[in-house]
Amino acid sequence: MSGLATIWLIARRELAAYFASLSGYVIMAAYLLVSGLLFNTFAVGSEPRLSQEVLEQFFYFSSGMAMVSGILLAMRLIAEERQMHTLVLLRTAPVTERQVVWGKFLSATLLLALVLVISLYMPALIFLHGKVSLLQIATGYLGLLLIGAACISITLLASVWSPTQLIAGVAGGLLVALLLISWLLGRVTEEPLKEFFVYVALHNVHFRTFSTGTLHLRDVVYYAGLIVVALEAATRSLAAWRWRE
Amino acid sequence: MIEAAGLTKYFGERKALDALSFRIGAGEIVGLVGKNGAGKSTVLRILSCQLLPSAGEVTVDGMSVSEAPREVRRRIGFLPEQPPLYPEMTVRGYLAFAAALRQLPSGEVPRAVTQVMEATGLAEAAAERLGNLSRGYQQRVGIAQAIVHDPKVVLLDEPMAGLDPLQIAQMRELIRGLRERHTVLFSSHILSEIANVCDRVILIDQGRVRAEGSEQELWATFHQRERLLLRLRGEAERARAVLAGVADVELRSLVAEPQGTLAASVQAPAGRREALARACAEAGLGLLELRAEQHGLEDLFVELLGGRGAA
Repeated sequence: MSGLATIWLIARRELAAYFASLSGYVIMAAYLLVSGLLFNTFAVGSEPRLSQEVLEQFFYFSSGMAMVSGILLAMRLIAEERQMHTLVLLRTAPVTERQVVWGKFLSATLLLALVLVISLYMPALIFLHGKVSLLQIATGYLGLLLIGAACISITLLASVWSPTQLIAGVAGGLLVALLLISWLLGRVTEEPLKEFFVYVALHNVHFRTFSTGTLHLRDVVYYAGLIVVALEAATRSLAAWRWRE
Repeated sequence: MIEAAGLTKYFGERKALDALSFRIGAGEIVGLVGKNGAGKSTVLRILSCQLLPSAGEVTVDGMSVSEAPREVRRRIGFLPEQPPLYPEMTVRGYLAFAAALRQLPSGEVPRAVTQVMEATGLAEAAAERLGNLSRGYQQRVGIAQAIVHDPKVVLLDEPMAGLDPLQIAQMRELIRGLRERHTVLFSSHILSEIANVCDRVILIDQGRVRAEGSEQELWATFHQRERLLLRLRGEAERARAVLAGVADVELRSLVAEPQGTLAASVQAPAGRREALARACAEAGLGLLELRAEQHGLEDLFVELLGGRGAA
């Protein structure tokens, strides 16, 4: 079995587990409910507005929902296996830690992608009242997927370190929060730290362009890089258990 | 098939394994016996590539667990003390997942799953969710996942823990059935079960091998003096004096039985039965019975480990 097939095997089992334990349904329902309320209250509102502004606002609060969903989806990925004593099945099988980590990441990201696809009805509603830029929708959704996947990878790393799902969720949330507010540190530090803190900020600079319909390669590279770094750290941490114990 | 040489493992300052060495041949069923904390699970976790040894070398089918863990993992099936089951999965789905995870070609997975379910008596429960199964059935699924890919070596950590007597008997049959295709190393506290199932026992204490061999070999090596049971008719004090007076004989106990006879337990070198019988006859004691006491592995275990908290 190839490496990709093994990753897909692990991802498929995880996806089934999300729906079997209802956690997948609950997270999806919560995302759609809260996004729908926010969309109706803030993005649409009662005043006439440009479709572009409505979409920008929609993507702004959807990014928050994507981040929270990413944390909730990822916190169980390794910590639950540890709690249920099932991690041993993966650790004694001829699969690499990297395949385990990427398989789990893929499952959570696919579920996030599914909920994002379902949420497409909200920007579609704007069609009823005005013109909508499909490019803005496409780039906005790409941004949502990337920022959500980044949060999944960060929380997956926390899940490797944590003995329980709850601790993984809290630790993942803290790491995400640190990355969110790192631009504030940029305000009180000098170059080159200033530039670094502004660059690593999860949302401030990098997401805004997606929501306006502008696609910058540097922002895609930032999120992709963050995901790869977090997943590689998770892989190494998982492998290190053999040495650490 | 399995070789450990100078296997040492530290957990912090504590030495869990102390230069442990043993060898297990292909097709053998070997029991790993020891008290709690003796190092049994640590040995199995190192063999299953979950832990790295602090020193020493272990190979499975010639592959080093330190240097070629993936190759070792291809050759083993492992059942930990708590079966690694996903409660939401069905028996069939779980075994298919375990088989694919162990790199069985996808075309062979359905056949392998069907075969292993039949071998482990799980065919009727194929569609059951793992979380709904009894402890005994969960343990069977645990064994099934360990052998579904037909590994050369099967490692079982306390496979009979928590099972009722009927389930233990079924599990014993299941493990015996593995002999034909696999080398099996398993740990257990239930020493009588070890004796019934294993070709050989490795007794470990404080991380070291204290003894190894078949039950008979262990007795022959460590129990040169036999324990004899005598049933006598006569006075207790006289019997005590006579038995204690026979050369090389140690009187362990003497109790009066309800029917008016005496039951004496003595320990003596092999070949002293005739001297004992003669001494009784000369003293006018009626010798009603003289036979060797039946020993089990439990007695040996207690004797070798000095009864320090033996199971």
